[in-house]
Amino acid sequence: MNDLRLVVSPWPHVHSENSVAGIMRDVLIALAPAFLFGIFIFGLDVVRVALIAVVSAVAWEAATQKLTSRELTYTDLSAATSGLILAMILPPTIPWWTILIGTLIMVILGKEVYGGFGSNPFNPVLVAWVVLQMSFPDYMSQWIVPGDNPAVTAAPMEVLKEQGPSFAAQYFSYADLFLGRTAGFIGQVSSLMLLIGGIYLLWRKTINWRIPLSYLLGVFVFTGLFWLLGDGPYADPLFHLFAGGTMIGAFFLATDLPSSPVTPQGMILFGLAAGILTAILRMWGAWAFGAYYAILILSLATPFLDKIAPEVYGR
Amino acid sequence: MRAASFSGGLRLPVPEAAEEIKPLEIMPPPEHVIIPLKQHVGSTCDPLVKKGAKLKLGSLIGESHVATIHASLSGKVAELNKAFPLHSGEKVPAVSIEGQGDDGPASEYMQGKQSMGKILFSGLVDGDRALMPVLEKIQKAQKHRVRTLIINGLEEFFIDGCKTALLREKATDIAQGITILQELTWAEEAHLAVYADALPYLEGLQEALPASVQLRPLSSKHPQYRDQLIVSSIKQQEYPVESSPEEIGICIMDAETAYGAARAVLHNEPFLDKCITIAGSGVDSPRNLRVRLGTSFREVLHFVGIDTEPIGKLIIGGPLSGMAVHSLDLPVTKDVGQLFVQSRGEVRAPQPVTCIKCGFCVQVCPMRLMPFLLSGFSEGGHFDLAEANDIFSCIECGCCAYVCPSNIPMVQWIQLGKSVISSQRSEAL
Repeated sequence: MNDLRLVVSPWPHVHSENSVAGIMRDVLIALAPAFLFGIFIFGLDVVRVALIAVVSAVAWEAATQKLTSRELTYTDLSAATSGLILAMILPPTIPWWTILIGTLIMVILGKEVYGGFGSNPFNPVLVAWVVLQMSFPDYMSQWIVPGDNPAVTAAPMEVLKEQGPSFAAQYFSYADLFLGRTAGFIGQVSSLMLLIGGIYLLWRKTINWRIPLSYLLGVFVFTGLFWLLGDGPYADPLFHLFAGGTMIGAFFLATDLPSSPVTPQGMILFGLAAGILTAILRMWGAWAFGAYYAILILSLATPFLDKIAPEVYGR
Repeated sequence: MRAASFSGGLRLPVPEAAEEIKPLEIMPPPEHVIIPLKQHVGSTCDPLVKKGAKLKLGSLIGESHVATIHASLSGKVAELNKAFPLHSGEKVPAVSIEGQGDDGPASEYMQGKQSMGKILFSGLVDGDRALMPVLEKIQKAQKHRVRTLIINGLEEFFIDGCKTALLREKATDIAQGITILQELTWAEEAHLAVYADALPYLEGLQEALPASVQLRPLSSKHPQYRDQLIVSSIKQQEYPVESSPEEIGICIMDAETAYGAARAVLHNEPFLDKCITIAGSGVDSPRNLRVRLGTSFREVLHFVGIDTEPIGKLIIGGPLSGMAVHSLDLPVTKDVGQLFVQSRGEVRAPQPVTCIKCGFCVQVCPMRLMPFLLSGFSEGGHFDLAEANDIFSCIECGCCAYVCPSNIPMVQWIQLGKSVISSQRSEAL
């Protein structure tokens, strides 16, 4: 009496239709405003950098998977998304071969050696970015300066580092910082555009609010305390929020799914600690772009942070 | 009234509840029923009838020390099947009865018995999942001196299903049943849990309830209907999943059980028909039926006008945590509260990919577990780690697998882990 046409399988028998490709599509959509703003302010070089990064990331991934006889996963859009996020934190003038090295490191050392997307302990984009920053510091700081602000040829955070807060405040208005009329990486300069993308991701529930909000809070409160009480010249917390990659860090880098914690407490501690470390590296470290280092360093703590979980029901 | 709730779970795109709830229709008795002699947790009932025996409606056909089983049709015993496969896969004896066309006079053996005797001889079992004989449940409540009785008026997934219809149409009987159960369990307080979203259908319910019973509206999140979450929502208390609510002084019984208790104790009627919701492909909004126990699923589906030809999956329970069955010819038993139909085009064949540690499953898990870890440990054969991470606290509600972007069948892996660990435990004894 068995009916051979009846399917028997474990529940659930319906699905949310969530998918990896769907998440990546959301991230790509969320990156669009900042990316388009980058083209608007730095010109077509932005398209060049993004195209090389995206195409090469997908190609490196496909080649590695072919060589190791694994299934090709370019349709999940994760390689393309990583490629675009890396492009967002490169300067518009960067030579093409540097991008290729960056994406090669991102794809192979960042994730494929660990078993592919999902198994990577660190954010592959940041691994690549740090290698490029360490290896080619000159190429990584050749800026295009937006037309109406020619007095300063460096990114705001570099100016802060080298000339101090009063000088930086003199040359960068909050409006310039917030809108992104400064030198910087191609998709990182506009806090407004990144905020729009970030709010889109929060609205779509693609990212959880805990990491970005606690990260922003960490940066704001820590820099705010030193600005208020500190003994010495410190930039105000709004400067720290709007410059130096804080926004792209909060919404697009710290939220890298595989390398960030999943428990509620873990996420908040991760965000706060990354925010505070960002501020520390900026204020007393050697590099202006502390945000990227801080987030990468904190992913070392993810396995530990995931142990800080709520008590199981009834225990 | 604000709906009490729990953290996690799913706010599903639940099918918009219909403007008018469908009434509980009484399906005419079928020509023939198959009645398995085990429809509850515990030992199988011994058959009390032989092939060819003439049966009155409601006569006893099976009996154990805590449960009884009755003829849901008057007629004669057509066959005694020694190993009839239940939908769970377990094989038990079953009695098949050929009806005589009309019900005739009902069996009267329940008259003159005490309340507890009536509960035993009514064949009442409780709930759509756990299936404990009500007598045993009452004894357990007495043993633990429970303070609180909670009546569960929630149904998986459907706000406008048969349980809401029963509460709407039989409010007085249910209120009487709650009073009876409260007296029998010696509980000091009683609560009736309903979906807040079902309140518009339940106008007369509050007035029908005695002052001692509190109406408690709960959220429509999945899986609010499960005992653990009813307890935490109403009483703000929790108990280990491997134990039972009686341990913390709470007894939970179903609204249909309260109805059955009233029928048994006040009207001497045994448990002969079951309320079921029919939903899914082929019906616009849930149909609510009262069906004689032992009627085949095929006949039930035909009765509501569902074409059985394009059915790809038949699920006992809801789409999120119901059990898919292998045959349309299984009988309605005491544990069937819902039939959910999927056409062949709706049946999913998910292609799982690597876990991306998105944590969506952690966010929805109502038991505050790490489903991706439990599933991954089981898949990789690390059962010791699965056990150390509380795999047995999983209630298999299906929320994790529902949201998983990698399409990992987490419930399946967790079930595998639990069964391997359980068999290892029993080997170790």
